[in-house]
Amino acid sequence: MNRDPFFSIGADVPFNRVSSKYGRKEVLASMILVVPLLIAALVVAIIFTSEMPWLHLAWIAVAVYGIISTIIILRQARAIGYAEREDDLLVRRGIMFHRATVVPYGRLQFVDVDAGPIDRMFGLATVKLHTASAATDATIPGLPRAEADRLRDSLAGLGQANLAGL
Amino acid sequence: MRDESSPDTPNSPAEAAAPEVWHRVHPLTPILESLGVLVGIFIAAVYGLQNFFQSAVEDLASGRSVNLTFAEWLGAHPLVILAVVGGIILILVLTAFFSWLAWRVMGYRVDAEAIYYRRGLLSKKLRKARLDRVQSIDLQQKLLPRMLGMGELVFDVAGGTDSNISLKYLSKKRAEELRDELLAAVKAKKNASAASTAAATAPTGTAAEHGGPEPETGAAGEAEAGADAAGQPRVRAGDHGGPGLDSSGEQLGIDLSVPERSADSIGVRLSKRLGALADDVSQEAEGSLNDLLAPYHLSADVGEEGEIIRVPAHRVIVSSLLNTGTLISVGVIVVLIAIAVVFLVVGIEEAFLPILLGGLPGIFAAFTAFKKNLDNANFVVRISEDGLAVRHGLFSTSRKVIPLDRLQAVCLHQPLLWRWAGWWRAEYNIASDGGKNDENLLLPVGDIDQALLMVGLALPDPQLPAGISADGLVRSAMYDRKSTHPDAAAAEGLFHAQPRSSRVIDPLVWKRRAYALTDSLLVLRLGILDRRVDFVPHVRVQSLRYYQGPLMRALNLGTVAVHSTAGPITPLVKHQDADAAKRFFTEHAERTRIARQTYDAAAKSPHTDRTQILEEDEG
Repeated sequence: MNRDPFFSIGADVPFNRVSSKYGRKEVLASMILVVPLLIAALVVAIIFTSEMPWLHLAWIAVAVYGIISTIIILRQARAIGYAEREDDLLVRRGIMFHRATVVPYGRLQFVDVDAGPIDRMFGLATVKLHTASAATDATIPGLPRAEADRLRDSLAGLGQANLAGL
Repeated sequence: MRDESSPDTPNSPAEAAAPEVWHRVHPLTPILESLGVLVGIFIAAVYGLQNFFQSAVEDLASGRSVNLTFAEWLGAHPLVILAVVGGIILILVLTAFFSWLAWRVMGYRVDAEAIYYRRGLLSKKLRKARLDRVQSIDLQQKLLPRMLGMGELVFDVAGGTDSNISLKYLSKKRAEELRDELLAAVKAKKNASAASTAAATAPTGTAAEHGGPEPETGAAGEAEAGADAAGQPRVRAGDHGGPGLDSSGEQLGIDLSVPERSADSIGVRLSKRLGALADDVSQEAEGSLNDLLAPYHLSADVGEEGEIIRVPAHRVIVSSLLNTGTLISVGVIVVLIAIAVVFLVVGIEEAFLPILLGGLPGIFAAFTAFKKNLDNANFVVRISEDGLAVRHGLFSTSRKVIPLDRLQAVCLHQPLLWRWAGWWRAEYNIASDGGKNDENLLLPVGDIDQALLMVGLALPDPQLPAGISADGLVRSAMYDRKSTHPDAAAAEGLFHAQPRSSRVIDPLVWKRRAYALTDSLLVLRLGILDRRVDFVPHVRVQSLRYYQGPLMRALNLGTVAVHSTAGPITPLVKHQDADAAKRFFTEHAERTRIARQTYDAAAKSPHTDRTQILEEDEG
């Protein structure tokens, strides 16, 4: 889909989206908690259905939560964008809470590539940028492994070329 | 006080190159060091006896006879007393013996490359600080050593969190001699290495300056360098270095090999000028100082040894009493006492003591806070070619150098109750990994002129448009529209206030909070009760972040965080109009980029200047 329902910032930079698998991966990660909870609530409700019929509300609530959070997670995943501009990297995310971070290449201290177990199942990785400030929270999750490595190498090169004095 | 094992203490570290000449520290050192344990034992004993005394006091108060069964029992068994006294004596003798043994293995050694410090009877420890990695050498005098005329030398090394080597204790005279010798050696060493680095990598000036770690592998490189430097494997970038930065280009004080840049803070430029001047600085310093601080319309007096600020003890005491927290705890204590007295008068005597005792923690807390503030009494700032040398402390004196060239942001703060006195406190952020143990104080308390002076020194020239003076800007930032300064009205025009819609979220502060931009600075005016002004030079900005939550979107507001290093200042351009905030975000990214480029280009470009200054340094 080309519709970009998300906020715009930084003039008209074309943002790269993260992998479409990222949304699925996040949903799976949240299901790890939701599904057992749902099953437990369902079992309890079925066992005590004659005594306490209102227990069915519990699993319905969990199911509704699961559905809503899935929708939110999928939308959030689509809202993540990053743009490698000439002198800095721009990361944007959030639908309810708009956040955009700009990290000048000259300020990069080091770049991390992380991949957790679920990440690896989907062949994804997270790129995290570090500056001398602990407040810098530029994280790009859900990149395909190859893209993550390319981005890291490119950022490291740009960082070295532009390294600015503190 | 040199000790007998090394009567031929060399006068300069270079001469000390003869291997394995270990100098001993002061013989009282082990005792002073174990004093903490002794005090602990004493407190434990007192705590143990407390029950006894408490019951005795209660018995007395209630008119019963004191329960002396324990004392009677003791009287009946004199051997027990003998054993206890003998045990104490034995412990003392053993302590003395082991202290002597421990003292015999404590020592330090200086050679041309490094300073070594060894200690430890059972587990031997040898620590090494390479002279070219030493950031600063502080002479610290804690209360007890000071009473005995001793002090410790603390070597701040670029390395791990506890990479500081603290050489203790030496007689004050010896410590001062050693510090001066080592400072000279460190300086010579660094100048030499700076000269060779500059020669080797002159075309890539920044890389030479900042160790140029490749960003990705910076951490690994730092780890090796740190381990190498401090003889230990921990990774950290030193108190004065940014994480992963500055691993090899460490400097003591200010790097004089880089020419004066307009975006340097005024203090750095002053130091560079002083460095180029002759030794007789006092007169010249005053001239340069007032020259550079001209935009602030200050006339600072440079006193003896370059002293520019002295905060008397009584001012620190009064200012710490004017702390809301202190006043509240004092109020609580007074109320408690009043209640206790009322109870006593009414006749409920049992409640008297417990209520008073209940107030004790409050008194302790207030006293602790108060004592911490006393540490800032006699705050003296001297301007030197290394930067700002600070000395403070009422009972124990500590010294340090504020590395002006590494300051990332500065703030002025005026707690509510300081208003009537017109006092301000100045703090800073520094490129380091938090500075947890250090208070980032530029000025603990001072009047407006002192505050302007310190802020002026710590910041680059604000580069204001014609017609607005720097002190007008700062005063306007301090006192918002209430400022009576003639320039304040003009400076007020620079400030971007929050839009009216933000009053829903910020009912009080929305009229005061504002930001102003100059060509080199971002100035933030904050806080309606506790007034506060943040300053962030464009060249020091790390990254930026734009934020807007649902409520803010409903009000069409946006916030931009300007990321600085860890410290007391977290600059936020808060609740501006959403479009203005987005524009600020984009434009500030550009502004800071240009500022950085000009700043680094200025370090590289005039090649002749650079070598010339180096030659002057050596000559």
